[in-house]
Amino acid sequence: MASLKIMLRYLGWHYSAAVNNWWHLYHDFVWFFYHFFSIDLITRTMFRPWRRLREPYVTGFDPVGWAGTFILNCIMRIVGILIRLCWLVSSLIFIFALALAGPLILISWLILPLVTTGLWIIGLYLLFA
Amino acid sequence: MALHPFQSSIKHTSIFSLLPVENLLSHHSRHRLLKLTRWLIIVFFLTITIVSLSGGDYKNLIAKLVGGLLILLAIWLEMYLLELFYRGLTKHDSEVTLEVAQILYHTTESDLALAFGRSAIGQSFVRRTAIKLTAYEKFLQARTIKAVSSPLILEPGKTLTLSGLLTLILKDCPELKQCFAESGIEEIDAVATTDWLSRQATAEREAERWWSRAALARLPGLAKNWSYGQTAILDRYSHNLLLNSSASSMEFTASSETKQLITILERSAEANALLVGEAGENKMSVIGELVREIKKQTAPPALEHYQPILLHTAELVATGRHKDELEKILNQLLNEAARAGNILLIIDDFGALFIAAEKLGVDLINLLDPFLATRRLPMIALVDTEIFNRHVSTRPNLMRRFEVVTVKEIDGHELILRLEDQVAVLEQRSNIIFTYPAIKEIVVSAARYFPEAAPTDRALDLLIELEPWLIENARTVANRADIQEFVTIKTGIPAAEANGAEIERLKHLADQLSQQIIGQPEAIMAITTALQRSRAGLSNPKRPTGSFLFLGPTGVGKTETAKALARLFFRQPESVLRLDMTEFAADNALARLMEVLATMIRQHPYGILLLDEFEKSHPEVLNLFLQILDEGYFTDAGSRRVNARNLILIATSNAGADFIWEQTRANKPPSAWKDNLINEIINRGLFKPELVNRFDAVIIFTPLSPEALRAVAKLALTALAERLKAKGVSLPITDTLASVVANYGANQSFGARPMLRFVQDQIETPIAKKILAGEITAGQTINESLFATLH
Repeated sequence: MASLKIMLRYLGWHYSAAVNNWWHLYHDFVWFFYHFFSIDLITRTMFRPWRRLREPYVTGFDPVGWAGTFILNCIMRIVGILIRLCWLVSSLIFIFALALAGPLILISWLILPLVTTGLWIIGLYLLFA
Repeated sequence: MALHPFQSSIKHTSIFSLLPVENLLSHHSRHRLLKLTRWLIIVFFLTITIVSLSGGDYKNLIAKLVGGLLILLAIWLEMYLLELFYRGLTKHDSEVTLEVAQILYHTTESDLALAFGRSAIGQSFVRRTAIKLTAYEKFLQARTIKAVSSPLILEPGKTLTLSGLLTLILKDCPELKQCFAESGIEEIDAVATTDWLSRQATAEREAERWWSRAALARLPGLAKNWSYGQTAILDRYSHNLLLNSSASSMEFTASSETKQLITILERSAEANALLVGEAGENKMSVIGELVREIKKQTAPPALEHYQPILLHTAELVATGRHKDELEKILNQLLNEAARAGNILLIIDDFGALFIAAEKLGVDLINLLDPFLATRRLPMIALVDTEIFNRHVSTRPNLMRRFEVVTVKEIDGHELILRLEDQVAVLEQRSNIIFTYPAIKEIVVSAARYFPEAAPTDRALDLLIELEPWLIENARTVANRADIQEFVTIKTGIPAAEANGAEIERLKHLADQLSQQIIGQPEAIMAITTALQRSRAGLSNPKRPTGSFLFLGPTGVGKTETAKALARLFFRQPESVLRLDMTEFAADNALARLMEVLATMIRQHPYGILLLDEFEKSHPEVLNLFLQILDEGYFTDAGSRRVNARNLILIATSNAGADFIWEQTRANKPPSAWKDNLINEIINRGLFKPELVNRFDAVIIFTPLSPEALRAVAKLALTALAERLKAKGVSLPITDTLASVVANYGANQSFGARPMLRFVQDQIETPIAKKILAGEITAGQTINESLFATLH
């Protein structure tokens, strides 16, 4: 009797509060990966030089020196942009996949009580068959 | 099945659904089962793999093993789902906390005191408070009033916590309060202990909710450094506080100082704070809170991605020994940090850097100014109050760039919370259980016996030092007495309240002193009361144990009283630290006295500090004693605190002796003219009124009456008679002999003081001559006629 009561209470939670909570959890995980992959920071600093590496321009009239520094600094920016872009794309793919997996996870959650029952039935059958 | 009244009162709460589960299979049992099934699943899986690969015909066996594996998986899954159920429902407190709900759920009678006592958390409470279990059980059976016999009415929107429930029980059941008090636990301690237990339980649950936003936020992200510069030079002299901040399981709300600090750091320019506070850990705890906020990602967006870097000032100063060197390192380091773009520079001991730079001639203010003026490099400088007042606050150029945040001295309650947090780590490591009274005693002892350091530092140090000592002495539970024992071993001061023989000694102290100090009952009473108060743990722990100003003419027993006290109570003659204050009357006296006094007190921190002829001290010396009387410590030349809180301070003075003589001759009792005497001394400029008022008592020693002088003479003669007795010679002490010694030995100027010399010259010497001449031998009694010439 007590076990049945517990089971009913549990199922009540599983299909109400837990499902409701699931949306918060889903939102939290998307938020987490957004921060974990530093998407906001990477986007904001997309065109900055890689690790702020920058050659200072020489003072005085030296066009060759100036051009050299300019090219070097441009390379640093390009390197930064390329790495960030790659990172951003892969991060967004991951988050997109996570967003797609969300409903699947929810469906898995909904059928989980059935899965455990199934495991019991098959397990007992195999054990005593 | 009908619900009990207390069950009914919580049945509408969300947590109620969980209680039958907890009743059937508790959280801890589920954990054990989860662990076991996990191992069994691995074993089954490996066995199936091995049997399958062995190539034999084991189809039947494999099917059974798979069946077993699936059942184990089902059990594991169900246990985990129940855990999720538990963690989900305990996420927020409903109208009752889980601990309270469990107590109410298990109450079969309408008796909360019994339910509390029998619950698991109640048992933890008994352990943590060190309440005697037998006394508690006896109370539960013998009490007359049962606590809270009507159903509880829960207030909507409010949570009934464990401490709230205990307060209710104690209100309804004064006998329980009495039972706790018998084990030395006051209501406030009991409530604080339940709060501690609740915080622990919440922290444990929170730690298990790995998917919570707060837990996820604590994980360091990736690619955070790509947009910021590297800091090779800065790294040599600093460390990143985000990397090694201890992840405390207990949650503390940010202090007002931390909030103030965050507001300053959010500014678009001049985002610099000067954290000013007493020397010690307090400033770093504010930084610790700030780091926690950044780590939890609860700090405002302006501080997001900032790396709190703690600059090791001592290392920096040690490397930059010359002006050019220090300037170069500072320049490189600051430029690099500013270029990096995500550095929050925390300068530990800014005062030391400031002083070192000043000594080398480095213009630190100008060096820092370009960085301080903008938001390129937000800075927090930590500086001790004394150095701040002396060196920093006087520099307007520097002050205009910084906003001052004053760090308050941490109070006892906060310190206890911090220690509880530390204890959680220590208990896991060493399997020692700390009781709440033990933690409270650490805080009290730190303030009382180690005032030379900041209370937080000292209390934390004491806790760290305790651990190996407790392990060495095979203690599994650290109680209040253990802390007191450790403190006594460490300091030589009896930290525990008086017990056994000491209580007996205290009871009879006044009688015994009266036998040795003649004619001064008021002084004896004042001293014994002060000692009794102190040893009962009632005196102000932040002042000396007792402080007395003995006023009276020479030779009336002022010094002798202090000595007798040392003999009778402290049982050690060296417990009297005697200073002749006439030696500290010159202009350079203060420095010399501080040196002498610091050494004396450090060697003997517990006893009597006797200051003879106090009025002769230099005014600066008197000012020093003003501080000692007020705060119980002073700071020596090396800026180290010297603790005088375990001393009885006795200052003797014959200031106003003429006034005392006049009043005594007029046959007026001291109570009639005591105030006049004090006013007279103050008017004569001998002592400042604030100094006189700082003493616990001003004791008047009146000139000795002829009877008192005779009694003193008898004491002096008795001492001689004792020595003669050891040689087998008897000296009868008659009233006539005592009167002779009193009349001729004492005088008005020096009171009874010359009496000893008189006994020595006029009694002892003739006897010695006779003994040497063989005229007095062992077994003989000295005839009074020997002293006939004295009459």
